[in-house]
Amino acid sequence: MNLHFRLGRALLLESHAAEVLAEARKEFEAELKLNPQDAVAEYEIGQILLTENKPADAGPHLERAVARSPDFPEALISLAKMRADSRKYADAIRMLEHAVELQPLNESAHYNLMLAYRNAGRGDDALREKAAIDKLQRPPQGEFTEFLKKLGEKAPSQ
Amino acid sequence: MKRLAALVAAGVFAAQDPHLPDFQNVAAQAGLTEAFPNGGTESKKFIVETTGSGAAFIDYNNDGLPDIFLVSGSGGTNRLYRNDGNGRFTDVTKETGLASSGWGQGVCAGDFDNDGFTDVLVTYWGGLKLYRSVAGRRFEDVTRRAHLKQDRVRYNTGCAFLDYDNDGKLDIFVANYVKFDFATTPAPGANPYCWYRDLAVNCGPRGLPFDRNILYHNNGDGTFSDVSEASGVSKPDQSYCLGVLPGDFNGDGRTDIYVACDQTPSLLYINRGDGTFSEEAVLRGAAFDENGKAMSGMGVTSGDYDGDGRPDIFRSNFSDERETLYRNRGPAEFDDVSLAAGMAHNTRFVGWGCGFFDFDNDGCKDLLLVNGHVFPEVERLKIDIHYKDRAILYHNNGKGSFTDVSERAGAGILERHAARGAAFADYDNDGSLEVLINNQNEAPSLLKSTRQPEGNWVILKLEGATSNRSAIGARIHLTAGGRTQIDEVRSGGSYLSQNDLRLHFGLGGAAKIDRLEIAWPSGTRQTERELEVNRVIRIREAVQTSSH
Repeated sequence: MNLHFRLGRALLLESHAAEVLAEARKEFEAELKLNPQDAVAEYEIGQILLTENKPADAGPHLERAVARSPDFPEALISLAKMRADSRKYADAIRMLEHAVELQPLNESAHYNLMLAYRNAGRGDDALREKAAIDKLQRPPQGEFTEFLKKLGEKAPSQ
Repeated sequence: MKRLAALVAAGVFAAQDPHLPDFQNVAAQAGLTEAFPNGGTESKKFIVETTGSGAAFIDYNNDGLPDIFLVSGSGGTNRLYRNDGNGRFTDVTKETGLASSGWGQGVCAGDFDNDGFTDVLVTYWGGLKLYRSVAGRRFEDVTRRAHLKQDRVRYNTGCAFLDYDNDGKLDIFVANYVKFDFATTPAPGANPYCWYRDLAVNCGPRGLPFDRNILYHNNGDGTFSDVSEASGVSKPDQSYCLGVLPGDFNGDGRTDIYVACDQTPSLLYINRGDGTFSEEAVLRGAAFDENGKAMSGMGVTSGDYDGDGRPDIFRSNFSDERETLYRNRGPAEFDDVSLAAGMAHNTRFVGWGCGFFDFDNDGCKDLLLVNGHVFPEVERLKIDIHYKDRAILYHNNGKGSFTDVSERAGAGILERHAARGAAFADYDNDGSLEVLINNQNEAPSLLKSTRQPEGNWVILKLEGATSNRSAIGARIHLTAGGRTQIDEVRSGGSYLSQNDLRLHFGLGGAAKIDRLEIAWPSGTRQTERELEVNRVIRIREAVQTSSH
């Protein structure tokens, strides 16, 4: 099942070469022919096209991804970023607020919502989102406990 | 002849474009043959082996020819090479009093005592060294006298001289990486922070404690005071800080500070103008990538790549991350435009030193970054990520985007090294910029193009009078041929490195500079008109003389 989708994902993971993006895109396109309602494949194609700096081509794929799966946070975020790039901040904010509702711990959703608020001149809302990001970015409690215990009171030595 | 045959076999000449530079590594011919040790070459047990070291172009003897300073890790010495003016450099480390030992990290330059000679600060894991130039003949270590002896071992990394309070005296900013200690740091593989793709590697920075950055205020009597707490610089204490870049990012005439940070949010200290800073990188869009993820920021540079009159920021990052280009939408609010600018496809490289520079003198800043992984062990994986790797050269298309021309710009770009610091200067004053690169455990690279760019150019050497003598913080608006360019005299930048303090501008076909406006840190605005091109122009605050 979903063989082309899995092949596409595997290709993306195996190399950093630009040509691999095109190969992966072909696999996702093949998957779409078999499963035209596959929102994730649409999203992956959109992401690859964005990476290839083809935002105009990416847009329709992301639109379809969101249309087919309105609660797909990554697709909402990606499409919202395109809206924000076009200065359509109200649209972007609507999608990002929905993404935050769906995934309250999604840093990307909060971050892009913060920027959208900022760019729309909604400073207080941007600050609220920043506070959420600060909370999410905080390193885990106790991350350094063992090391600090070892350091104790003494100054590190050369 | 053998070399020529090798280059042809490598397809270097076949791929050449006459409009692109032909960068060759001329380090050996220039006399830069000493290797600079920096920990293990097959494996690295501790993080301190991974982060060094910086490179600098500094005209220490005021002869108008940028000299070379390179920082060494443990087992070697920092070295100063005098520019002999004939394409060769002579090692003058001993006679200038700069022989050293220890884990050298970064270097920055500025005339802190305003005596007309450029002084040098070197950062170490372990402390700082402030070298005061004695009439451009030798240097004296004034660290203790200047009150810069630190009270404990610190992992100092990037540094910069800056006049944050515009009092005419250069202060010092020093970034700190982690709290690190050989005796107590866990061994490779000891905990989840000591692994990379199934390889046991040196631990950190995650898992090692944060430290704070430091701001030293110049008291004007040869001493400095630590004002980190009072200025607010020490407040963000949850970032692993490396590259430092001062600049007036919001155009208010005061120097702000950007700090590239590893695996943690990068920092943007906005100067409030009352001796304090407010760290605002997240809200201003310059802390993360476009997804709100902290990158492994290493080096940082600034330039107005899109010609809108605002300084933009580029930051080099780790492998599997995109380089980050932040467009300044003004005032100091940034958008991550890496993808749109055509930059984000080089994700297999770990980037370090970087710089905007106009290699073809067309008036648009291009960009070079140098690379090399932190873990030599990565070679065991047999993947497309390498410990030693080539540089990346982006050509500015003049329309807000770049083209990767790395494969077509000469063999020097394609040489593989574990590169770290990179500094930029026109060391022979011929109008085309050269690049100095500090390579771990190897001799440095000195990239020089064999092809002279077609465009006209000018180099500005500024000297403050009321402002600090190095003119650090002076901001330029240069108009020629219908195009206005901006730049700023900066200390620090790139990765733990120092560019020539003179500013180079490519001018395309413009046969003269119509207008040159200098906003000095003192607040003085100075305008020069109808200046000639293809020369070095010296401008003293409110006084101008011309050479060449």
